[in-house]
Amino acid sequence: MGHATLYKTVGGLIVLAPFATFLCLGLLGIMGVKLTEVQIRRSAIVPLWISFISSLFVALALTGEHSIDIHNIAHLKLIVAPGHEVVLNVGIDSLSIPFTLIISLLSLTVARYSSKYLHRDPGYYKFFLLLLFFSTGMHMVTMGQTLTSVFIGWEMVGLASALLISFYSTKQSAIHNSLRAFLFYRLSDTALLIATVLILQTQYQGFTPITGWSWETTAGVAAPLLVPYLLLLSSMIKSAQFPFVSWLPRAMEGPTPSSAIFYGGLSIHLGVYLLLRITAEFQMGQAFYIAIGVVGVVTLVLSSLSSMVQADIKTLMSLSISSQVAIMFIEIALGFRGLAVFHFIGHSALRTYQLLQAGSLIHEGRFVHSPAVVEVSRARISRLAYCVAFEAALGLNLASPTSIVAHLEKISRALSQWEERIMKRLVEGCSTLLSLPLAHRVGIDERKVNGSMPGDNTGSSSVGV
Amino acid sequence: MRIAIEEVGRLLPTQGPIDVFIHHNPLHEFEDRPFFEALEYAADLYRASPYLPLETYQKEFRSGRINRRDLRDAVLESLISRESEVTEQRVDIEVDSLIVASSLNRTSQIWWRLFEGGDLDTPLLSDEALQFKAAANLSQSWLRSSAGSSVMEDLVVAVSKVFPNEIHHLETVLEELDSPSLSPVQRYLRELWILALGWIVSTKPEDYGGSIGPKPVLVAPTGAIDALVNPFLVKFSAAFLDQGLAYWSLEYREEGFKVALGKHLLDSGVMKPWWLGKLSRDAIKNYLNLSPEEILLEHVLRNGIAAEDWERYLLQRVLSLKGWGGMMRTFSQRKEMVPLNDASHRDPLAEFLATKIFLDDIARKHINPRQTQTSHPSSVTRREDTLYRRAYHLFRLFQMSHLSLQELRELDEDRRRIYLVCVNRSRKEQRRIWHNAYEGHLLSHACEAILAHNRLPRLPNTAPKAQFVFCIDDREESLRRYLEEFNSDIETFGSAGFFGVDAELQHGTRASAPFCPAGVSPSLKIYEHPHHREWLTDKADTIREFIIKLSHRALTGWIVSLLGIVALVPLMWRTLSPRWLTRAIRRYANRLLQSSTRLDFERDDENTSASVSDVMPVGITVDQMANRVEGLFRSIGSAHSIAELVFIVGHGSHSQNNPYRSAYDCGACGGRPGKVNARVFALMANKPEVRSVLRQRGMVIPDTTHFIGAFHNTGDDHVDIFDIELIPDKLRGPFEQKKAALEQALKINAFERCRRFANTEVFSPADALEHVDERTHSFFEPRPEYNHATNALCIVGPRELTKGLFLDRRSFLVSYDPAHDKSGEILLKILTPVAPVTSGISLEYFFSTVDNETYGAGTKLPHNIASLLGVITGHSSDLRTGLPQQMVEIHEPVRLITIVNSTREILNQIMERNECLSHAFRNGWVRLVCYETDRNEMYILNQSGEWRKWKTEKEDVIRIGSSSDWCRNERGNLPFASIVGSSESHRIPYLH
Repeated sequence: MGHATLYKTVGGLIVLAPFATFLCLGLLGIMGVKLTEVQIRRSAIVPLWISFISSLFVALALTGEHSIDIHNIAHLKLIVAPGHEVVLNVGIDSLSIPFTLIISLLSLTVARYSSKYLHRDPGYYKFFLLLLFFSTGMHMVTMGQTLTSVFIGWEMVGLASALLISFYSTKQSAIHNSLRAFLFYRLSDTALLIATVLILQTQYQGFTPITGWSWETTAGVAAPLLVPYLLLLSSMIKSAQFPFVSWLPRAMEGPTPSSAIFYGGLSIHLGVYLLLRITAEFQMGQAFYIAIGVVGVVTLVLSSLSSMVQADIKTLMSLSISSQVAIMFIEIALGFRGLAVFHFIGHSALRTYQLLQAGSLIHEGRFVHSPAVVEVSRARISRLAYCVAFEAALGLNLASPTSIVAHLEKISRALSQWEERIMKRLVEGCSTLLSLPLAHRVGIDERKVNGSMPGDNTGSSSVGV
Repeated sequence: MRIAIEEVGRLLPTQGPIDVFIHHNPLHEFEDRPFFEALEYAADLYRASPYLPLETYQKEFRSGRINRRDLRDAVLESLISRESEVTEQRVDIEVDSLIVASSLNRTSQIWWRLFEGGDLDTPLLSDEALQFKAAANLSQSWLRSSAGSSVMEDLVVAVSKVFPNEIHHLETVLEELDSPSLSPVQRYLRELWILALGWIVSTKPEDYGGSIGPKPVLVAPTGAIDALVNPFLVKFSAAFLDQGLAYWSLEYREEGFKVALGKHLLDSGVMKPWWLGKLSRDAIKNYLNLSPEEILLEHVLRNGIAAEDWERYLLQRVLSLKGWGGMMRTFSQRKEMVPLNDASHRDPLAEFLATKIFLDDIARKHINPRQTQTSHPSSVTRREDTLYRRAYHLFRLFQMSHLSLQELRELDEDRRRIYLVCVNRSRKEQRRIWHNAYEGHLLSHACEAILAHNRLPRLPNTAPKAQFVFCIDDREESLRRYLEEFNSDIETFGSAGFFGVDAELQHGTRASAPFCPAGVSPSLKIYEHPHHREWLTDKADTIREFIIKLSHRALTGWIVSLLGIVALVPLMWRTLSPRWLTRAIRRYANRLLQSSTRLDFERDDENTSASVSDVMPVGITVDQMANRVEGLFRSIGSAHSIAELVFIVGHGSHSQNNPYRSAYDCGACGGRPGKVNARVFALMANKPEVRSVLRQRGMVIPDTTHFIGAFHNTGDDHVDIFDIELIPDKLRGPFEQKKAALEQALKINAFERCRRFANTEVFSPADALEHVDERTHSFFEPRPEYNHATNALCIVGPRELTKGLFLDRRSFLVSYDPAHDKSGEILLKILTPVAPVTSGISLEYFFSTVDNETYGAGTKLPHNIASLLGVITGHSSDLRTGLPQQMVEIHEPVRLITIVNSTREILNQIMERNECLSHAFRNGWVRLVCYETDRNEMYILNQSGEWRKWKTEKEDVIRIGSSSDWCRNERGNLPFASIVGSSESHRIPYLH
């Protein structure tokens, strides 16, 4: 039993080390402490080493002695209500191990890479903070023994991802593309949330409230009809599968190491993990596997076609990543689960490395400007294929998400105007009631309320921009 | 319309493909205008910032980088050109006005500063509080007297008539004045503020040289349209210009940009971008049938643009894609890069412009008209804001005057005028003066240092045992300094790093490339036989490339990524492995792979050279070799005193994972490493035939002399020496000795370089060498070296003038001996390539620093290689030109100060004879200083083309023991200093 406690502690460190550091660093930041680059670097890399060594330890231990059970490292009741109990449960099993290992290894590598690469960048602190947050989120997903834990990790990863796309927040395109990714992620989160709630519901019907729903307890239980498809949807979006490919190439706005670890290495494979997990735990119908396969095949065709015509390295890379993930989907659909895991390991290592050295493409000596080189790439294909390839994966043909955003913006603007009007009423009412110059404090010009003075400087004008 | 298109083309960036990065002046097109005029004109045109931000200059003032004297000189210079009489008082007020100028733009910001930022509570200069308090007390007593009682109320009434919106703020101030708890100083500050407002509203700015209101804008900002059109157009342009990155090339590419795009739209049917969805086939066909000129003409006529504005209008429209536009222009000149069918009458730039306009027009329909009309609020300057800005400036200026309220009220018209003129000066003008002061400081420091250094007693010259000829590059300055500092028998020279070998080099089967300055066309061809061991690295490259290609395809990519776990090995190796291990292995691998190649550069028969042939024959004749050897030694002025060992050292730089790698190489070799040039020169000079020809011409190279070619890697500070086996046995001993001296100098050179890297702490020269080695081999190091980031000077003259002077790696050093050049012929030959190369470097850095987003490439971290031509930022931005922020962050943007040891007459003649030099010098793109050594005097060529004698003010130069002591533990720029040995050195803080 002493062994088990040791393993549990070490296992807990995997997720706890980066998270605790994130909290400390974040707190220091909020308190206004200015940290030097060296301090930030050290405090980020040390917990990632701890996390990596812990996961290595656990992996070695688990592959050696199967008897040790650390499915249940941490157990936290989030909501306890009669008949409802939402539980956050973190643990490690054989499926978690490869993911945990790769996640902690790549996080560590990328942190080391960035520690020099981002030197003198004003966002140095922000970057490492988000990297720790992301790493925690990834571990939460892969070590989560309940869907609730998965959902929390899923959210964390999405948030870190969107914030890193808009890392250069003075660039308009970065903001636009970050917003796009964020919207897609929200969709994915929503699907996952609905699935989680649905599962919780079914679990409690007819059963006495046990410790909450977890992978172990549901093994062999038939899932409710809608749930697998919601989870599939969620996975498709997170892993940039058709028709949700378009956010991926556009996500390449942050610094290169963040692109490498999110979209080359880790976060893009979360969908694969989730599918592996649910197919292991639930009895799925044939139709579900067919659905996964169809998604995979369609994406494979479109993304790989599209990657053929891209003339910039990061877009090209992102589309070929999407196509490889599609192959993993197909592997899962066909039941080659081990292969999919193996494929994930190799692919994440390969793409992280490739993206990290994307700058070396010029000057490698192989691309020399001469007409001969131009001729080499002139393989003829059908015109239609070219058009499909050029447009498809960029999502240019789909109804523009910017127009969706525009509609949302319209609605929110109307809402804010409505709110303002109500507020005005309220303020007027209050100030007459209390006969105090309250309006001034709330930030609304008295004269403007009275309608006599047009221009106002109170800042409400700049909000709508 | 044709003319307008060509004009637009000229104004777009001219940077070529990034694999050969040649530093050039981004405003090259404007070089026929005076510098500042061109700068500000271009800033308007490109929506760029012409100077550094005001705060930066003010920060430099506080840190002592600019002092009051520099500022006075700059103010004086700007006033003298316009006004007949300049009083001392006037200059003082102008200087104060610059020091307190603020860059707050909007009324709300100013009120915030006043109420929340404490501007109404604490005076600007607290260290002179006494004087200030006196003025405050005086004012209070005056206000209490009968004369001043109603002043404030009157002022407030006057002000509130002009600014009815701000009345509540003013009332707040008045109320506060009534409260008894205010100190006299706080009271005084509030009164000054009201007074300043009163002054501004009661005058017409036009009377004081100011103007009000925004300039008329030709093109409304088109951000929303660009956001729609540009991603599509960028992807399409990238595909069109692609040099082999994409696997499939663009359909119909050979028929030109417009046809390709039109037919693509026709083919794609439902696959079109959503905003092009409703486009009818007729519209596309119409677009296909019209010529680009017709499309543009139709557009400008429809929009009622006057003919004289066409070029400006088109430029503004294409500004958001100026990098791609510029590349289109480059392609219309270099037709071989895109295989067009009937290339003669296809102009990619015109088609690109027409397409942009065509797509914009379509996109405009899909955009909320409100979005295209209203621009960003900060870009609109309101009249009110302008007035407030001036009042705020005046308020701060009042505080510098220490005058009481009464004195200010009753100021005579002349002084009142001075104040108002000062605050009516535009931001741009203020920054121009600041900038002049910023440059002036360095100019005077450089002149003083060199003059004073040459007044010091000179060490007796001993006959040198060895001579080193380096490139003129500023990065070689420190290495030369250390070589001389430690070895009295070594002499060094600087000459443009291609050493007169204007070669086109072909290595094995690779495409040949010119290795000479950008403006020179190569006149000889060298063939380099690859070494037999090269197949190993070549094979490795081919295999790696093959794997990368495979990894991006679907099914082969599947196999590659299944095996992808192997990639963990290099990934972890390169990021996490211990340093000593990597270093040891690299050293071993280098030894294994070290190889020398065989060069073909000789030609026997004289006849073939005359035959007209398209293909340049390989090699040159003995006569031509002799010309080149003689040319070099005559230009550096050592034709008569050649030592027994002469090292010819070319340079270049290696770095990993760096799209800008070529920018670190030798500029005189056209952005390539000057390896072969140095080696070929040494081989030529060693040929007995060449020497005998030279002897006939009167230039004697002793038979004992041996030339050695070498290559300095400025990144990791290692030197490769070529053809060691050819060194005669007699010289082996001296050679080993000099090699050791060179290696020692390299170590300490690396040590000096390390002080610039802010994240590096290095304690010994040996550590430094290891550190720079690691830096250049790291694939996550955005700053393998700082390149030319510290360039500021160019000194043309014999080394004696600067020998033993610590120049902080800030100077290009060109060897030239005026004693052997009475006519100026040699000087002209030197300056013709050197001046454009050095000024190109200097101005590229200048503009990339001043406005890194417009002229530079922004931050390097999210860069993404597009079409193998350049980088874009993120997913679909404009093609970035100029230098990234990581390369320029420590650069001081000053124009190059070129100090030439010659006479004014000769320089005048040279400027007459060469128009390019005349533009550069007379228009002030380079500050030219003539150094006449016979009387030890300097003359500066000023804006109006006259020579102004430099008046020495300080007699002495800082003396230091050794360079390495001087720069130890320092990060920033250091003053120039004479190295005099340890006895009499002392440190003086940097020029306060």
